[in-house]
Amino acid sequence: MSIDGLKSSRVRAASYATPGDLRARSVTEMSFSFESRFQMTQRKLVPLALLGLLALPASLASQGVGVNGKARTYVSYLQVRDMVQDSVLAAAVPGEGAQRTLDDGTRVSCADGWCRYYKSGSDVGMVPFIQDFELNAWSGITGLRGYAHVRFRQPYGDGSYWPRMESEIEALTAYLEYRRSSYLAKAGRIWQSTALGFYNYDGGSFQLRLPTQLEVNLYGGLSLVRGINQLHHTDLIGNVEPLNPKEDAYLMGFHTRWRPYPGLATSFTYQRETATHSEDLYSERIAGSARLLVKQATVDLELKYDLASENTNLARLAIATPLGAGLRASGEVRKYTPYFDLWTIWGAFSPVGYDEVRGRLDWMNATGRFSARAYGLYRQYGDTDTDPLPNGDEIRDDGWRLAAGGRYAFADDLVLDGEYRHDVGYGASRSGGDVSLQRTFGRGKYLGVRGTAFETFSEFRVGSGRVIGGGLQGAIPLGAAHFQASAMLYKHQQSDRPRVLDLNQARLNMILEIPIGGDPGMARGGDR
Amino acid sequence: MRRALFLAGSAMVLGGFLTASALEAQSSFPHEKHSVFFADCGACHGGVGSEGFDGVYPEVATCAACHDGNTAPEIGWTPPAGPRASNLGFKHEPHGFDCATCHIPDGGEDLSLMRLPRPSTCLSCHAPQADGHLSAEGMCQTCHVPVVESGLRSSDVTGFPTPASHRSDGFGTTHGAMAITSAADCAVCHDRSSCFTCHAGATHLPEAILDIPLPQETGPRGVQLPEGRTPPFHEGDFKVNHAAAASAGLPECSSCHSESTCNSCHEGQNSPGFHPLNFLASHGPEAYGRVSDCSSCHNPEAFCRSCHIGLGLDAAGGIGGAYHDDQTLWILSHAPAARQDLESCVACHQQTDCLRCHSAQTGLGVNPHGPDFNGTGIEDRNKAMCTLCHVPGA
Repeated sequence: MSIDGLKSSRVRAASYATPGDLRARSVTEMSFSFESRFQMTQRKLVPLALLGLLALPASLASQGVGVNGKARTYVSYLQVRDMVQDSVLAAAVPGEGAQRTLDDGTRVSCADGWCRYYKSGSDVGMVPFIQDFELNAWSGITGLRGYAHVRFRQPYGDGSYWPRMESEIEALTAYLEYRRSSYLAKAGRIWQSTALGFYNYDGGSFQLRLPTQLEVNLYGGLSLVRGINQLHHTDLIGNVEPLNPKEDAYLMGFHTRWRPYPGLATSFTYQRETATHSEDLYSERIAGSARLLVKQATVDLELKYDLASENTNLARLAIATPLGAGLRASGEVRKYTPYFDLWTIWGAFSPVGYDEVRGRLDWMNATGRFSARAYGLYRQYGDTDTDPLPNGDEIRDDGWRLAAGGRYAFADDLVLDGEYRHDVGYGASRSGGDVSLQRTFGRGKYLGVRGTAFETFSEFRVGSGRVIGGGLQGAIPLGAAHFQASAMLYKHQQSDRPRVLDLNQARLNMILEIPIGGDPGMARGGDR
Repeated sequence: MRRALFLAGSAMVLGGFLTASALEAQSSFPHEKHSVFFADCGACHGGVGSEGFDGVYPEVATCAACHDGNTAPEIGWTPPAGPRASNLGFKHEPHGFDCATCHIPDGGEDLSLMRLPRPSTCLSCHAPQADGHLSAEGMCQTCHVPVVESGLRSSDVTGFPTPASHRSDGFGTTHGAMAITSAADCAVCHDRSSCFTCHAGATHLPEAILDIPLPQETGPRGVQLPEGRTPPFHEGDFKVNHAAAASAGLPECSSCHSESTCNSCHEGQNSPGFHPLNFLASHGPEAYGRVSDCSSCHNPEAFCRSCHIGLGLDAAGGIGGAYHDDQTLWILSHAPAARQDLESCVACHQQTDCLRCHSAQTGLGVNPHGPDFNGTGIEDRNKAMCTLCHVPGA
C-alpha cells in the first residue's frame, strides 16, 4: 500500500477529527444574553455562559456536538507575618530630629511627639482556594464555537490578605466565535493580545484575513481594568485609591499583522480608552512589533508609544543567534519609560525611565546532558531634573544584574538544576540562588527537592534580611487527571531591624487538573 | 540463454528476500553455492510478486531434499511465518525489473553480493536529484506507508536515522510549512500524538495536523517525542519578552496554546510556575528594576497596593511614617527616587498622599512636573485629571 493507501489513511484521519475540527471549527449555542452596550456584569455573564456550555452533552461529540475543557483547582497555604507600626514617645528616644535610633538599634521616624517603627505582627495563614473551569463547546455548525474560562474563589484562613479574593465568581473569558478561513468574529468577554499587552473587554472583534498575508482586527467594547477584569469604577480600586475613576471606559482599537514573507512578521496596534460619559481619554497608545528571521538569527523590534504624554514607553531591539558548538547568544537594547493611565495623576509627575542593555549566553553539550547559561544586564536611569538632596547624598541611578546557572542530567530521568543571581539596583538589591534535583518517573510523574538561599538589601524597603528555604515538589497522574504539589519552608532572618523578628514562611501549593470531555482531535479523546 | 536464466533465477531469490525483509541487508544465504541447483530465483521464491506471503520462501522440504544429513548436512532452518514489520510500500509487480537490477550492486553477476536493495537504488529513479535517502524531502510517501499502517512500534521508528531537515536549526519553526505541503511524509514516522507533544493546547490547530493519522489504540505508533523540550524561539527569556513575537505572530501562539495559557499568567492572581516559589519575599528588586513589566499582569492598585496595605505596609503619606526611616529628610529628598521609579511608589502610595504637597488647589503647590511635561497635550485628552490639582480654567 503506497500512495492510494496513504490517501485513504488521510481520509480516515480527517474523519476522526471532524467533530470539533479541533476546537477551531467547533460550535456551540451559548445562551449568552448581552445587555445593551455590552454592559454585562460578571454575575450575569458567568451563569449564562456556564448554562450555555454545560447544556451540550458531551455524548453528542460524534455528531459534532459537545463540550470539552478542564477543571483546575488551586489550593495554597501561605504563612506570612504581617508588619505593624508601633511607637514610643519622642521624648524617650535619644537624639533629635526625624530619624533616630532606639537603644536596640531600631531605626525610628519621629514626628508629632512620637517615634514610629515597624515590628513583626502575628502569623497570618492564608488559604486561597481557586477553582477554574475552562470550557469549549461546539454544536455542529462549522466555525461556530463557544469558549469560557470561569473562576470561582473562596478565601479560607486569613484569606482577606490574598489579593482578589473579594470576587467570588468571575468570567475571565466568555465568548462566541464564528471562524471562517478569511475572517473571525467574536462577541463576549474577550482578551486582546497585542504589542501593547493583554487587555480584556466586554464587546466584539472582527478579524479579516487578506490573501496578502495581512490580517486586520477591529475590536471594541467596554474596557476592563488590566489584571483584574473589572470595570473601571470597581471597588477593587476604590478601596485603595480615593481618586479612583468615576466612569467606566470604552475601549476601541485595531491591530494589524503583516507577514510579507515567511521570515518577517510585523504588527501595528492603535488603541484608546475613553470615559463612558465625559469622553475624557483614559489612554491612547500605539505599538508596533516585528520579528525577522535572518538565516538562523532572530531579530525582534518592539515599540510602545503613549500619544497622550508623547513618551516612548518601550523601544526594544533584540537579536538572538546560534553560534555553533551548542552555543546560543542573545543581546538586547531597550529604552523604557513608565506608562500610566490618564485617570491617574502619575504621568504628570514626569517619571523617567532607563536605557538598558542585556546579554545572554546559553550552551548545551552534544549529548544534551549538560547545559549552562549566563546572563546579565546594565541599566542607566534618565536625568530626573530634580534638585540635589539636602544632605548631599545621591541615590543610585543605575543598576546591573548577573546570573549564571546550569543543568545536568545524570540520566534521562534525573536532573540537577541550579542558578545564582546577583542584582544590584536602584531601590533594592538581591543576591542568591536556587538549586533543584528532580527525578521523573514517567509522563507527568516526578518528584523533586528544592533549595534556595538569598539576601535582600535595599534603600527604600522595610529592611534587609536573609532567607534560606527548602522543600519538595512533585506531580502524579490520577487517571486522566493530574495532580501537582509543592511544599516549601523559608527561614527568614532580618538583619537590620531588631524588632522585626522574622518573616518565616511555610508554603503549600496544590493543583488538580481534570479534563472535561474528550478532544476529538487527539488520539481517542486525549490519549496522548 | 543459460546466462539469462541464471541471472533471472538469482534475482528472483533476492526478490524474495526483499519482500520478506530479512534482518540483514547482506543475505546470509550462500546463493552462489546453490545457483547450480536451481534454474532461477523462482524455484525457491516463486511467490514473490503475488499477493500474500505464500511462496516467498522455499518449503522446508525443498531444502531437506538435499540437507538430509547424508547428501548434505541437516539444517534447522524454517521460513518466517509472515512478512517482517516494515513501513515499505514497495510492490515488485509494477516495477518489472529483473531481480539482479536491484539486488546485485550495479546489476552485476556476483551472487555473493546479493542483498536487499539500498535506498539509493530507489532514489536513482524516484529522486535522482536527492543527495541521499534522508535528504529526499517530500518523497517519503513514494516508498513508505504511514507508520500507523506499518506494524512498526514506536521504538522501531525512533531508531530510524533522523532526516537531514530535522537536524537543521530552526526546524521547530519551519516544519509547519513542510507539513502543509507534504503531511504524508511526516506520517511515515509520526502519528498525530507526535504533534500533540507540543500542539496540545492549540486553540486553532494547524490544518496540516489533520492530515496526519491518529495513532492506533493498540498497535503501530509513531515517534514519541520527549516532553519538556523547548519550543522554537522560546529560548532564553522568552517568558518575559514574548510580546513582539506574540503580537506579530511568529511563531503563531494559537498553534500550540489555548487562551488559558495566556490567562494563567496575565490574569495575575495565580500563576504557578511564572515566579520562583519564594518570590513573595524577594520581589522587591524585581519590581524596582522592572525586569519584566509587572503591570502587564498585576494591577498596581488592586494587587500591589491592596496586599501591601493588608500586610501593614500602607503608606502614611506624611512625615511620620516608618517605612523610609533610613533616609534622612525623606520628605524633602524623595523627588529623584519618585521620578526614577514612580511605579514602585504607586505600589503603596495613593494619589492623595502626593497631593498633600503637590496639589495647586489643596496642597502646598509644589510643582511635580518635569521640564518636558506636555501639559497641553494631556489637558486636551483628559481635563478631569488636571482638575485634581488645578482650579479649572486657571
